[in-house]
Amino acid sequence: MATHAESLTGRVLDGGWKVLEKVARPPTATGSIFSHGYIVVSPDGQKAYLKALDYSKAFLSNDPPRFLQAMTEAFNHERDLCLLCRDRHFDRIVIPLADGKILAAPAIPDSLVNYLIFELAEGDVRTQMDAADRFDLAWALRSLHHVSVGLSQLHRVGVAHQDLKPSNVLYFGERVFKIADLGSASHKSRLGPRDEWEIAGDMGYAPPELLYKHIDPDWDKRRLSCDMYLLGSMVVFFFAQSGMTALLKAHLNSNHTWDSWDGPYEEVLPYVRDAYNRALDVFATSVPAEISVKIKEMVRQLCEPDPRLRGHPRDRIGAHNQYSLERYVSQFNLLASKAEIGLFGGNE
Amino acid sequence: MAVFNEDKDRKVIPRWRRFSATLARGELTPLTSRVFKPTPDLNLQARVKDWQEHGSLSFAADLLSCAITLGLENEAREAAEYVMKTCPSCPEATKRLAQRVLGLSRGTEIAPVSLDMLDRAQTGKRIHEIRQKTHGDPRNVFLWVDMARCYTMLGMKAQAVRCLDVALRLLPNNRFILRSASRLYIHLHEYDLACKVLRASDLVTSDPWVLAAHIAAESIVHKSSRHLKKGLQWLNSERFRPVHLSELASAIATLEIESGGRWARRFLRLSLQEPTENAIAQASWIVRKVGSHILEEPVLSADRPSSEARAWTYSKEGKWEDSLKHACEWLVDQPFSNRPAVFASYIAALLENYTVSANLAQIGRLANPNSFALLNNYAFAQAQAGHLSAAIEAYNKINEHTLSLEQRMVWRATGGLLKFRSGDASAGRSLYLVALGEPAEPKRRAMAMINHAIEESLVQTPEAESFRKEAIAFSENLPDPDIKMLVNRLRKIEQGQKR
Repeated sequence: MATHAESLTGRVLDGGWKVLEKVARPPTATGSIFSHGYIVVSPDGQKAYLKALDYSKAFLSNDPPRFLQAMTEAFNHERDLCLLCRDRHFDRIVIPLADGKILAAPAIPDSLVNYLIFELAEGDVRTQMDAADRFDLAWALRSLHHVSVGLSQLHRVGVAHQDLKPSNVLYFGERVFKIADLGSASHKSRLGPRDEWEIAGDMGYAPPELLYKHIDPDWDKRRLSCDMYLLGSMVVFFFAQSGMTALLKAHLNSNHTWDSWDGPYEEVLPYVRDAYNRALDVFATSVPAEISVKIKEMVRQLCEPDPRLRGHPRDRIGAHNQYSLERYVSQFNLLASKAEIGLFGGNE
Repeated sequence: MAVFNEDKDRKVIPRWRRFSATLARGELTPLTSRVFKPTPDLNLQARVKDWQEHGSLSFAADLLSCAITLGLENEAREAAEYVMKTCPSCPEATKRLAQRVLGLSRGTEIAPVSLDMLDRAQTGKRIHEIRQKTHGDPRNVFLWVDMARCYTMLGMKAQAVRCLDVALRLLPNNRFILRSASRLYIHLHEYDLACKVLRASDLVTSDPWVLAAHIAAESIVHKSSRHLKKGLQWLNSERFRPVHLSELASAIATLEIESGGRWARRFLRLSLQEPTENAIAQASWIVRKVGSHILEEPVLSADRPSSEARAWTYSKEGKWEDSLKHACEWLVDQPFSNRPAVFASYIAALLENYTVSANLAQIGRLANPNSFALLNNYAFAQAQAGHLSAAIEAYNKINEHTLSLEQRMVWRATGGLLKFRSGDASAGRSLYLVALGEPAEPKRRAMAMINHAIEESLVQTPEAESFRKEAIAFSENLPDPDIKMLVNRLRKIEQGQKR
């Protein structure tokens, strides 16, 4: 039987948004597993994506009230962060066009469904990569520029995304990319629903220190360095179609992977570092020769396995913000601009 | 005459291999590990759905990445097959992930090393490559250790110590670095430093691999490790897996043999439960020393590879080609070490393969430029191969004042050979006779007599026949297969001359 969150087709929401159709798992579907997606249209004809929270899962759990509370808190947290981004006019974050709640069955008071309406993307990084008939360096570098700007915007207001991955980088046409899904994000001065989790985002892309359960109590060192790593991993995905964490694991001896290691992270770090350097060499083979040295160096800094050493070396000195992304934003912008005017041979 | 290795003494000094080779041999396995329990992951399920829906490279790569990280490779088999079949031009990284999921490659691939990669130019090139890598990441400590090893192979002691010092400063408590450091100091005859570097580490009281190295290093200077009791406790407990105790048991078994203790047999058996190559070589030596009764089973088998042990075993059986093959492998494994180079060059000379013998001695000379045995074997092989000037040049580098009595005897005999080959038979004879006047054990004396007789025969001096007879009479009852081989050679010369 369909849940309330699955029964919104045809309904008209606050602001005149009309729910057109339910989408199984649209290209813009983000984050939360406990939600359903719809295509909606505004009175002026703008199509958008609606994310409806499905409370029904809570009633299947062992402790429905607690689960319900957790879901509500998670939804509110994501919505609040989205609204914060909207208020700040962050242009590289997918922000909601509207939010609200609706009684899915008007006669049933507990059929209330919370929802968020987002801009409708053309797809994520993966669909765009597959759509291109060949690797477009300018496109890749501009995407990375936009992603780094997005992360930097979040960091500016004390928010760490923590779940940057290919499916969370959405394409909006005309070479515009934005970061989606703040469901795993952490706010520096506000406790979030996933702040207690060892790994807030997708484990499949998580930085190695978290997989080895090395949790630094310092928010910056834990959260911002995680974002920095994920940005580096996105660079790897763009050029080598692989996450850095998986590539790292492929170069680690099986005795030293997070699956089997039982000691402190400091002790396994030398082995991780050695594997990391070999993984970087493999990654660099996929980067066009003109920018290979530069990109490899950027990834080396961004994905540095020791979170205390992550980031640009100059930002690790003195009073600089070690996890500042500004230098990377500039470098990606410069490289993308060069690629766009054809300074790198063989690319647009 | 060529110098053969003494087989009187052997300690369980750590092997020093490239980091990647040590890792691949499982010698850097942590003492404890977790049992991995894969758990379903909602994000991975979403990736699987995405892949099923799109069926393209990017979605396959995304799924592969997640599945590998989570240790749930089976979930991505289909995607991996897709990558391997339909995307031949996909990035190398994606291919590696797909290969890993399909079980086509696991872990690090170790580039094979051969003898021709051990010369000065190749080793110098390798140092250059490692140095370039340290520029990229100077914190990669294992690069410094590998560089120290390369410098050691070239006999550049100061550079080697400096590199290892960097590694020790960066990571003072690591099994690989500590064992490599102790091996380097032992190679440099800095035995106190070898003991000190291990003693100063916290690992000596918590890691059996480090304690094994400490016991071996201390025993070289005839001291007993202060942590020996702890080692015995570990051997008598079930705290560690047998592989972690292999070298510790081997080291303590060696002490037991030397002191006539009663636990040698037990510890030797323990050392062979999950043995390291070094423990196999040590067990093989113990069997040669005290007899095969100490073990119920043969040391060597298909699942117990040790090039050193096999080289020795085949040499004792007179299987010279096999012995040489394994001696070369031993040299490739430990190219900075004097022992495999001396052994291999001696066996090659015995097989009258003098060019190979000279090359093997030359490889050993890179790391041990002043080694009497290697200079002597090089000079002997070059003289036999007809390269007299190279032979004399090497021979002249031997510092006679540093030689022991036995070495002096060999040195004079080789000098005799060079004189014969220079056309001065009487000076050659004089040197051989002086050499034979020095005190020496029967095998060495027999070898000098045979070599002398061969030289007299080759220039067909009137005294040749009497020297041949004397040499054969003295040598024919000796048990050593190499002496028997040389006696046969002398007999063939005798028969040829009679004809």
